Amino acid sequence: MNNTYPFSAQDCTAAFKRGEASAREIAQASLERIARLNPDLNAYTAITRQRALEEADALDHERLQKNPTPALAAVPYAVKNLFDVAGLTTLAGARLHAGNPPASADATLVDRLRSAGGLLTGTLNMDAYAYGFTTENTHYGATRNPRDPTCSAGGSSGGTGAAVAAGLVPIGLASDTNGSIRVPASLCGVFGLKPTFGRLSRRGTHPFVASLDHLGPLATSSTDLALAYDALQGWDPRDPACVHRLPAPCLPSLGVGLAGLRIARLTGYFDQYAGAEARWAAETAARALGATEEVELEGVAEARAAAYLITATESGALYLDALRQRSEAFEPLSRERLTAGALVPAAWYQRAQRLREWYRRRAAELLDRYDLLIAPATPVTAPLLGQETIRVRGRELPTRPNLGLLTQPISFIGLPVAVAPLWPEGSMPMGVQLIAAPWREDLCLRAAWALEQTGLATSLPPEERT
Amino acid sequence: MKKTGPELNAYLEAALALHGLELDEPRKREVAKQLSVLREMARLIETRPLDVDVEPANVFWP
Repeated sequence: MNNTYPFSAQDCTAAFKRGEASAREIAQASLERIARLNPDLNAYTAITRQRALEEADALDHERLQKNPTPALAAVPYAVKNLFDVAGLTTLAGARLHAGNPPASADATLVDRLRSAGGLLTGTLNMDAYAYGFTTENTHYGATRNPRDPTCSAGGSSGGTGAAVAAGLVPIGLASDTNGSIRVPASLCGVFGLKPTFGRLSRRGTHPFVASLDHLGPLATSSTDLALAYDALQGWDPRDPACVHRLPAPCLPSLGVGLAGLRIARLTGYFDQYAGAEARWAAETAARALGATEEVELEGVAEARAAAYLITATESGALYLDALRQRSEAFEPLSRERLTAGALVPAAWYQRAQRLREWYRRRAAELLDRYDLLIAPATPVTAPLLGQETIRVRGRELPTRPNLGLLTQPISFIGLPVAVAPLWPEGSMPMGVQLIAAPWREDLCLRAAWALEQTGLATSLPPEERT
Repeated sequence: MKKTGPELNAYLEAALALHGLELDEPRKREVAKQLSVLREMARLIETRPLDVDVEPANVFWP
């Protein structure tokens, strides 16, 4: 097998199936690339070399027995370090958790990727507690953006975004509460999927905000994204937040096309907080996908405020005991935010949850009229590491809480979103959000695939395209 | 930076005591700043009238 980047999940599985490469060879290629590039990126917090090779050897043995090839056979992957991995302590980006005993079992989604033939290469850096959009982690270091190492990889799943963008693994798993899959996908220039709230099992992951936590994959292509997503689906009775729905495979319908779909670009708030590159990306994607209309969603600013408040309250309450007993162990960037959240009056929180229901109804009305909505994923392209403010339409806004301005109002009501990366002229990448009604991940992925076919959406920067 | 105001500071002191949290002055100032941001978020939400039949979104399924 060609050991040069990039290699996709499809490449890995095909090479393995055809006998061109053993699973061990593929695992070794990935591990070698990780060893070479990760020191500069700081994407990984733990490399599970032995496990990856053992899983590869088991697959090679299965092939010798002529057993069926699973869907993700010999695909190296990695997971954000809030996923339980048997034998490792689940950090959730925080030194606070470093003394905890190791996980006794894999998280459900890790188990599903393993069953699908995936090879776990390690766990990935993140913002502490998942409370951030830049992966500038005081305890475990900042993750650098592979497109420009002076820039942030986004967060809170920056390690996942960077690992996939750098070709260390073709698939990564991450979480998204207010944008933590979509922001890194946008800033690192890869594809990401935040499924409908409750679609994928959260069992075996460290929580952040119970009302808002989603899990999902990042990948270097829309096909790989669909491949990963299909392997992750399925009800989990051990997760009370997982909705009991039959799996709905998306890969078979990826290339069906978008004929007959009603598509619109979201304006109003989504233009107000979009810089030049963000606006370009959304307008370009809209034209390419045949969006005929522009539409405003009512109450977006209030929705974002409510998401912010619910996040602060639930995460603050979650960490209250630790704030009392071990405040010195907290990361300084987050400690006082968590403390403030723990003190929020109940009436504010209740109002925010009621606003959420109101806003859900407004979005449902809009999604009765349209099958797909388009918006930028981030207000700006990747800021510099340590950059305190971003400039959006002439206004200076603090960087860390505001990179998720455009993602928060969508995840707030659990809508499925795919991010496809576009490349403004001479610029770092910029993702677009492809948003559908609940449970219609298939439409999100079809749109991502369609954009990719035009050549506009790609994880390859311009200088690497032939 | 907006000033946090006496009522917010008084609330903060009382809430910290109620929750058993002891903070030094620099940390209290930062928490006050964060609470001030949250207060602005709450005020924005309150500008949207909500009918009485709009119940809180589900956090729990039996």
